[in-house]
Amino acid sequence: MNKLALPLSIIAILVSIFSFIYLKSTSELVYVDVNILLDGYKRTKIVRVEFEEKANTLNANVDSLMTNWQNELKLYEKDRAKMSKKELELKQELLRNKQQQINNYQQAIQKQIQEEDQKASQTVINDINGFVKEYGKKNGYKIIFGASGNGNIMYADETIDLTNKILEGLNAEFEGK
Amino acid sequence: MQNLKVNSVFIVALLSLVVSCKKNSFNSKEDLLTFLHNEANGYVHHKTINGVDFTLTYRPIDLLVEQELGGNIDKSNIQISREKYRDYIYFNLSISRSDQELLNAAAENRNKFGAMVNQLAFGMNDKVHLFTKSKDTLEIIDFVYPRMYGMSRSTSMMFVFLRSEDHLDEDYLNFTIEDLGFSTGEVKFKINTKKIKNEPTIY
Repeated sequence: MNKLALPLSIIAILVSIFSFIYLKSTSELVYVDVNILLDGYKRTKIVRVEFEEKANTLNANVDSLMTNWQNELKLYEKDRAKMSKKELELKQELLRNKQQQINNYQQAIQKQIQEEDQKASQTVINDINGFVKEYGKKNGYKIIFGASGNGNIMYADETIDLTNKILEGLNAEFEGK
Repeated sequence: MQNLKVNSVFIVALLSLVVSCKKNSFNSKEDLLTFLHNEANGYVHHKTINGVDFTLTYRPIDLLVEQELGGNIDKSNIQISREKYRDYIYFNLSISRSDQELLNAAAENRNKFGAMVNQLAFGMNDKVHLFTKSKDTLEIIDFVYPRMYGMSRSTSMMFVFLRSEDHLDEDYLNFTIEDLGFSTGEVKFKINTKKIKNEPTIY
């Protein structure tokens, strides 16, 4: 029986060391700077470029309609002296209707651009949130604060700043490394 | 006597190792579903973004086998059926807003409703993607969207992807859903490939 005591105690010590090292959850308070993550994440730039391209195309459609309308207006102003009263009324009505249609279209396009902007930003935020959550779980953090520069974290020691580590991991994951 | 004690300790340790490495096998579909729906087991993933709830569940082959065979279970049937399904990976995706189907949530006007029906019935293969850590895409084979006409609390679809063992050798797969018009952005789930390789079985 005495012979078993020594190996058993060694196993017990090893198990405790193992649990201490691997199973401990760190209660350290840590934070990330959300603005740095947003700026430094490589997908942000790609998503922004895609959004700008879409927005430019949509705005270009509105611009070309506006140019057509302005040309028609110039033509009307040039020819109005030659027109009868009836023709004037009809042309004015036509121009008013066209202007109204262009305004409606412009509003719809602005709404669409806003939605595209929201989609693009949310995609990047989803990626960051997902990665931070996974990182926190993996490394046993109970909480990771997000500083966004508007006063929710006024001071924090640099040693508990995880921003660079998270950014590195986030970019590595995005690039498939 | 001492040798006998050491041997028994060794056998117990070996048995526990074997038991812990054993695949999850269940006696009934209900037991398997209970296991699958426990998030801790890694087969179901949830996310809520801007009030839209996403639930992604891996669908093991044996659930499809069970569905096909019903009560007609014998070993040869099971094997034949498993062979038929094993070349693909199956996922169930549920999406809801305010505990309602997406169509109800999107029914602001006739045009939006029509566009959403079209999207869900015919266009989801362009919105959902499955790819590896190194960005290799697993081909989407098909998807099924059963209309529930507002009787369900979420929009549920099944997606079928081509299974490739090379892709399953990577650590995880990314399952992404593009924005469906609810300002959620792209939503991503990371699926541990070990869970797919060691999927639970019924029989």
